[in-house]
Amino acid sequence: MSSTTDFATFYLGGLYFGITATDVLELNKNLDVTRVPKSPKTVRGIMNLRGQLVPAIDMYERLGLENTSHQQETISIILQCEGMLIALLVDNVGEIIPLEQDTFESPPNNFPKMSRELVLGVHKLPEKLLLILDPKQLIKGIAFSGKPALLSV
Amino acid sequence: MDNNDDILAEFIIEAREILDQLDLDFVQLEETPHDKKLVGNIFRAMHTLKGSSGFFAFKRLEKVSHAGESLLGKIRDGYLALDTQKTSTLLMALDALREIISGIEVANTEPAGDDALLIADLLSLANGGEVSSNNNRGAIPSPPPLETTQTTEDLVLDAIESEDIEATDEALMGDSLVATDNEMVVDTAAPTGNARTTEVAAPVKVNLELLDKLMNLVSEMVLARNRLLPFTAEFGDHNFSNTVRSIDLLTLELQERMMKTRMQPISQVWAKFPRLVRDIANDCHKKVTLIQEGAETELDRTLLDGIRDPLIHIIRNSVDHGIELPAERLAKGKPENGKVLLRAIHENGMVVIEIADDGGGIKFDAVRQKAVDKKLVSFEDAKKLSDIQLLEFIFLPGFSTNQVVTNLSGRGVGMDVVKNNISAIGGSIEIDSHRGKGTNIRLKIPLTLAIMPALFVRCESERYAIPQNSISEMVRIDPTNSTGLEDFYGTPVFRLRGKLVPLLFLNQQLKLSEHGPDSTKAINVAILQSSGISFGLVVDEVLNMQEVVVKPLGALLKGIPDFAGATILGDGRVALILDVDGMAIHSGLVAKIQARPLNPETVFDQVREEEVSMLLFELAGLERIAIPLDNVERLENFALSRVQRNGSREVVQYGDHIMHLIRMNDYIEGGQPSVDSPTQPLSVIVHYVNQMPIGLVVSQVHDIIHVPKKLQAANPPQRGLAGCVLMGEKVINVVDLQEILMMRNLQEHQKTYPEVIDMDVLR
Repeated sequence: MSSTTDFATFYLGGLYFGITATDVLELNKNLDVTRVPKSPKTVRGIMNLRGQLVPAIDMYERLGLENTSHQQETISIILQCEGMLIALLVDNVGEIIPLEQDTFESPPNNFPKMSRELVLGVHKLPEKLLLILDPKQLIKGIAFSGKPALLSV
Repeated sequence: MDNNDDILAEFIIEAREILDQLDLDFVQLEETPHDKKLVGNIFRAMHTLKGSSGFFAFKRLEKVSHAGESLLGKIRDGYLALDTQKTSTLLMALDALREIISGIEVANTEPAGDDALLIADLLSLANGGEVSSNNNRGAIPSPPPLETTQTTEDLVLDAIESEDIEATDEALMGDSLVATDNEMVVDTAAPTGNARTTEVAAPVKVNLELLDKLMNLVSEMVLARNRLLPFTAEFGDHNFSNTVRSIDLLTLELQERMMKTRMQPISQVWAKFPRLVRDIANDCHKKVTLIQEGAETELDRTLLDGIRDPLIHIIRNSVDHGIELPAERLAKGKPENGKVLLRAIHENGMVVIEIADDGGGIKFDAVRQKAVDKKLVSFEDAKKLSDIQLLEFIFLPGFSTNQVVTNLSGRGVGMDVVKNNISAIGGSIEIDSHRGKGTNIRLKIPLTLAIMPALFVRCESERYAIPQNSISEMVRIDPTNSTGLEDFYGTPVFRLRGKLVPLLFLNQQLKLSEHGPDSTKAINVAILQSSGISFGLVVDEVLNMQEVVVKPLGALLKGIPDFAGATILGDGRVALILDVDGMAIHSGLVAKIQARPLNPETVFDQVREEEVSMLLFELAGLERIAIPLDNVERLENFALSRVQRNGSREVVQYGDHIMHLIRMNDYIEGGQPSVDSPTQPLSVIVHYVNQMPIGLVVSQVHDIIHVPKKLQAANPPQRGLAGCVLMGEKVINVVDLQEILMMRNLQEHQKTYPEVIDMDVLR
């Protein structure tokens, strides 16, 4: 009997992505995002999640996808990762699906390099492919090493 | 295992507290060597330490504390008298203990080391003998080890209100807290009557993380309350409104109390200084008395940590460089004993910490020489620099004038580090020194980092907050009646009262858009102070003033120098808080201004001693009247309808107070009866007498002016005027507020007003 893992899934630019469900805290719809000037392009801004500031990651930018949908509604997936909260801005969320380890494959070599860093692997589902993202890598590429802000705690 | 770790962590915290307390007690004991109670306390503390170390099988710790205890026991029982040698040896024992504790903290086990010599000394002294010859080793403690930030560090919370503690006892509050604490946790030492501790209920230890979380929740609660308030107007249901009102009040109180839990008396940091001063003074063969005032002044916990190292540095400088050798002092006609004064007071929502010494002052000629040596100024220019201008050099990196590098100071780590540390916590530093008379350093620290007043401005579509402490004034430049914007070597500037002020456009600085201002429209400028320069920040709109809860931006965004953090507004949206220092430096403005000063004679733009700031205003019949700015707390406008009559006097409701109004024109010679227009609000200067507000009614407030301090006496004297000063060609009359108040007879009746509590802490 192989182990099953739950994955939270979402759609972005026609692709189907998954993140280990245990990393996901909650989903929110249309939270106000305050733009942060001079921030990296991948960070659309910060949002207020019950008194906590959460950076909102523009997933199109982060994954290097072209935003073709331009839909007004955004859904934020709040992740807990490396001790901090981040929000992934996506178009649509799918169901939480349990998957067996045996449908899993490492990312194919012909993936672009950037995607290979972010994608842990692929689950081959009957009708489509589910790309499993690595939250740690998602954050790692963003944090930039400027001078630490004076008030940072 | 976890459990054991917890116990160990508690032991370390406790041991540190005991050691800190012992430091204090020993120095105190040297002054009052016959204080039996004190010796008893010291003995008990040492005994406690020995007992606990025995429990953990820390052999070194146990042996040293045991030897110390033996000596102390003899002193306590009167067999031996305490002298400098014994004190020094005991203090060395303390240092050894502290070192072992630090070692344990790092490795959870005792560091290796040999204490045989020390123990032999202690035991020999205990048996009435002498110490071995090499007593001096390590007698000078290295600067206290930098405290590593302890995440699990606990906060000693006062279970009862801190203000309940008697004022007379406040200076000792830090001590008493620690003392109770020792006795609460450890029962091995039989607590005998320690009078100081009986008045304080047992404190509770609360994890700092938990406190932060609670703080966060309370801020959230405040915001939720803000969202709730508008509903009362919408529904108009009486019961509902009442409930909301009580929630409103409770939330307010909750917030205030919560803030207080983070506040700690500054004595927590100061506790180590008597020992520090004693050691440095001994080492430099100087005689120095440390005077502490205002040790009960409270500061946010994080800030306390931030000021510790700068203070140590400044005090070390004062004793090592400032205070002269006893012989030199006597030759100069000064008392042999040098003084270092440490004073903390609340001032306008900030805590001001003053470190003053009566030593030789800064060696200005050495500073001048060093500035030339380092090629910062040419020899010719250096000769022209005034003392005040020379002071600015002290804050440059690597600028230490001490010729001999001692182990105490002169290592090239200087005031620049102090300045950086202080500005990192939102504070500022001022230095004032006079040849032969001493040096006075003032640190201004915000009360708390967590909440601060901020001005909201709009730029493009977003709101931004500017910390109030960096704003000096707001100006609106109307191109139709001013010279407008000019260009100074590529930097846009404008004229403010004859001085050039460089401008920064917020939209360009934040890279929101490229365009400059519309030259036909008025622009809003916030005049900001930062990094020694004054500059104007151009914004689209000035909104409101509001207290904000500062939250860090988090790891992903903290590299942007323009922002100090963010805050959550009443409507739930996030607004960014601008980092004024960061913007000034990263825009290149600071470098530009330093390279090419705008106002050459006023680069070192401080209010010089001979100048004072005054508020210029107008009265009916009198055009130019000024009042020293020190007497002005606030400026207010009141609609005439708010003014009520109380007998023959006019009063208004002002906060929690009834504020009496004084029509200034009735008291000053030459003033004419004023005619109130029903639509025009009253301009009022609020002045506080014995913490009671008094409103000085004037016709119009003009401006803040800087004028010579020395008044020209009016001849013959005029009623209500202290004299006059000249500004340019204009004569400005300065009011004599004391005389006016006397005429008004207010000061004699002060007792009839209700007691007022100090609101500064709550603000």
